[in-house]
Amino acid sequence: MKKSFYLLASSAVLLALAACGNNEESASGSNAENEERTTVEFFQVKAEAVDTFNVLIEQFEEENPDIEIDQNTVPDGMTVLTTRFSTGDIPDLFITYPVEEDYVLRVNNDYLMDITDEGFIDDINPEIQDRYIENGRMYGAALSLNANGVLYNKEIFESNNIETPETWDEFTAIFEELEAAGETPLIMGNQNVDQTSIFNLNFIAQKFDADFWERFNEGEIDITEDEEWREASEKMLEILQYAQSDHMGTNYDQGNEMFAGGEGAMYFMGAWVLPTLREMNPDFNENFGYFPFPQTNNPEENVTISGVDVGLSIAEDTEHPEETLKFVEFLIEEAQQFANMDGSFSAVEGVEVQDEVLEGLSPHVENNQVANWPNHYWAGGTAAEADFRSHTQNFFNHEDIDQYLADLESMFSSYR
Amino acid sequence: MEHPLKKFSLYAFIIAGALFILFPLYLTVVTAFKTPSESAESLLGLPSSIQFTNFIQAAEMSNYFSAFYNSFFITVLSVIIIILLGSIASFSIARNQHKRFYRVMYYFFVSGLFVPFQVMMLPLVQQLSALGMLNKWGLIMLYATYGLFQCVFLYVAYFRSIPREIEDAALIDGCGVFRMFWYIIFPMLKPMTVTLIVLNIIWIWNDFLMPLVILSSADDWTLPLMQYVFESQYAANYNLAFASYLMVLTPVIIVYLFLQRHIIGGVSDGAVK
Amino acid sequence: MNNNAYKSLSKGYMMFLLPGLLLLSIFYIYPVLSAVYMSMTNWDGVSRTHDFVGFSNYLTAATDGRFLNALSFTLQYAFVSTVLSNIIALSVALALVKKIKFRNTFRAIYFFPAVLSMLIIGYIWQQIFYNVIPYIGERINVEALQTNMLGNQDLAFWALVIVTVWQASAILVVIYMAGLQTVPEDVYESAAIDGASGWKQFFKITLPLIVPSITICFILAMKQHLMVYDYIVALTGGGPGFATESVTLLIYNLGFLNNRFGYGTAVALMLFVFIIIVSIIQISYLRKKEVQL
Repeated sequence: MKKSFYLLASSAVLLALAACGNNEESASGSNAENEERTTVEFFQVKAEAVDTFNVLIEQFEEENPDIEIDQNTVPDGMTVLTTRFSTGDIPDLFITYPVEEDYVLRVNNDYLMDITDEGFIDDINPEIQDRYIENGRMYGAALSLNANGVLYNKEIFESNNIETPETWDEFTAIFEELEAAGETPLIMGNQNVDQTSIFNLNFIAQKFDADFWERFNEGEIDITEDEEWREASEKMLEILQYAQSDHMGTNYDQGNEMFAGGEGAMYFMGAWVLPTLREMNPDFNENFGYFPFPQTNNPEENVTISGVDVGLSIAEDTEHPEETLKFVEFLIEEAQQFANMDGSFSAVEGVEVQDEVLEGLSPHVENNQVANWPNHYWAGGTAAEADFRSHTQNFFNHEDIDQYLADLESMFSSYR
Repeated sequence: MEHPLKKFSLYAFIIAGALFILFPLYLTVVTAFKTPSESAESLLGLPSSIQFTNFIQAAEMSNYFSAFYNSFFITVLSVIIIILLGSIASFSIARNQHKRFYRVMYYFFVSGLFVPFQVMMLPLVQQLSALGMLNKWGLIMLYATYGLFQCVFLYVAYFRSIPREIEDAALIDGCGVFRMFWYIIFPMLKPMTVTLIVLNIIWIWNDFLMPLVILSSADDWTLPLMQYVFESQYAANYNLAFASYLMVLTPVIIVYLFLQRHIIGGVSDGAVK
Repeated sequence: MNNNAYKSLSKGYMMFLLPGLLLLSIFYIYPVLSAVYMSMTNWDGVSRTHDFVGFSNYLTAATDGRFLNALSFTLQYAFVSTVLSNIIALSVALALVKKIKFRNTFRAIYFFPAVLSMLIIGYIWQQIFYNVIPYIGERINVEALQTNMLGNQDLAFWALVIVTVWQASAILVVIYMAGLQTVPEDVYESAAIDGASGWKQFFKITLPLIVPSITICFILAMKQHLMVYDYIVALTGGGPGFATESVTLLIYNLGFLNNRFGYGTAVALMLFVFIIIVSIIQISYLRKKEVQL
């Protein structure tokens, strides 16, 4: 009697513990039984695009009542995705950027589905889509492109009689002029480490191409002795002096708020920021515009950074290959709709930009006067990119070019 | 003996310190109730009227109530398991110190107090993923386990003050071990149990790193994690941001106002022993 | 007690131990052992295979500038925060044990930060550094205060220390108060007769008598500060540059960003060893003090 009492008690505790694990299984099990729908997990790392995707998902589910698309957006999305790979819990569909080391690593470990022969691949601009070629095959599909340029406040430009610049000299002259007129020429949010590279990669992207990075990754180039790197660094410092007084103590959100509130004339930023700025300032479209970043004095040589913004890969081991492919095909077909809502350039052929602010960058993007994000070529992938940003943030503080280049050299060589 | 000047400087010191402690909280409360234009006018002044629009908006944006429920559920269940398993394990360890096995067990349990979570963090993510437990159940298991370290440490020490004679008498009376523990021993542990409940609630309710690496689905997010996720969305609108900070802190503030004496006693006892 | 009852009793004890033991085996011992193994591999978190590399991760750490930088920041931060919070907490405790009005109210106010989330406190202070301090700096026309401390390479460290001391002193005040209350009144009385007062009395009598409290407070604070994570995430993200990258943040980044699970785990184990060493040094130093006086 007594014996059974405590046996019962201990086992009750153990059962309670076991029940915890079971609970969830039975819950999800019964869900599947009730609804008889296939659920495809779409791991989507762009917080700004959640609503856009929700609209498209709703349309897709209406057309395909037996498929449910579960859009999953978490903080530090790319980090979580890495973890999901390391634990073997890979989402059916997720965002992947081509060329990048993470992509190459995943391809070479057979984590991604080969989609080279799918019909929808032919609808995508080959200039962009070919970036996905690895070992002669493609494991991702490009949907949209981001673009990085200079946002400007039209009112401030007009009241100071300033035209948008096309060359480096015009560009620096504008800063000079605006400052003399008592305006804040530039808003930067450099407390947020990401913002430092959104600015300075403009120079790096213009100066170095894919071949350079290949040699660079082989260790054939020493940054500390490279004149081009030095020149790029000098240009960074030249621009930096025009930023608002506490740009190192201002973060991304605060920078957005300041610029949308009309506190500065220019802002270096990618197109992904547009929805946020529009929310902060209802008159954004009338009062603000874009122009391409003029890195040199030859307008023909200046480039706009534009990389794949939404690119989709499917897990090799997915349990629902057909359903997932169907959804990707749907997204490519609806690329125009996506571009309209997302306000981005499209990787799909025949889709036109209808965003009045973004149009300022169209000439470059349409003439293919673009460069991919340089960091996509770096050995070390996302990690090297993060280190690069931190070293850049350091540089903006100490402003010592020799130190900066030495730091970068040792950082890059650690990933080779 | 008491110089008026000495007394004055004593009070000045204590009051200045108290104001320094209260200032961030004052700022949080007044900013949470103000509109952006009111804040622009006067950052530190009182709001012109009491209105809850910031709170309503912040709660909607952040899915506050779901996060509150998760925090509550995870905290309560974890604490119950810690107290139940910790008290019985401590009992058997404390009463068998003459046996080598139980002495080893004591050091085994207490050793965890010195191991930083970061040591286990990366392998744990793997392990829980393999078990399909990267969710709130996995998190509860982790709290239940890591809570045992301190729980056993404090309970075993406390058992020294409880005479064994009562137990022997109860057993001779034919009372089973479990009943004896539950009806006689456990009530005697009450002061330490209160201390442990307080310590564990504070720890689990406020913990950030474990939920960050363990919870993979937004449905399971706890309050600190929710705040982390939505920080970027309202950091620029600081009235909204402060409203959400205040909402995360409010449950703790309320509990503290009512149980302040128990909490201070519990935490200092737990730290000292 | 007869033999049967004894047997059932010892079985009962075993039953009581088992559930806890089971949890510890699964969620504590197993991950610790896999951590030790993982720290000797070069696993990148993605590949399906990995190699055993022995102690090379540990050797790498010894010359890795980033790790050494993080370690040096963490040690400095932990040391400064521990010393400052202890000095402040002890001063407050000395004031609060005096017979003053509203003593319990003050006690409740001073303890309050201890129950609040470190992450949220970090966010609140982040807003203070960005909005409030520059606002005050402009009013009183002090240039140094007009920019955000968190964006400044040198000041970011002190910003973190301020926030840490604000919150960490709370619990120490209560522990010191408990310690001070154990000092018997008559010790002070006889000291007063001997002519000792003020500082002399504090250093000769009070301090030696509360060495046990000091030991507890230093170890408690030091361990907590060596593992700083939440404040860094909320306030600086490790920046500017790498100026405030703590070892814990580095471990997180190595594992989840750099795909270096093996190396990250090795660094975590080294942090563990550091905490143990620092604790032992503190205990043995303070214990000596206790014996001497």
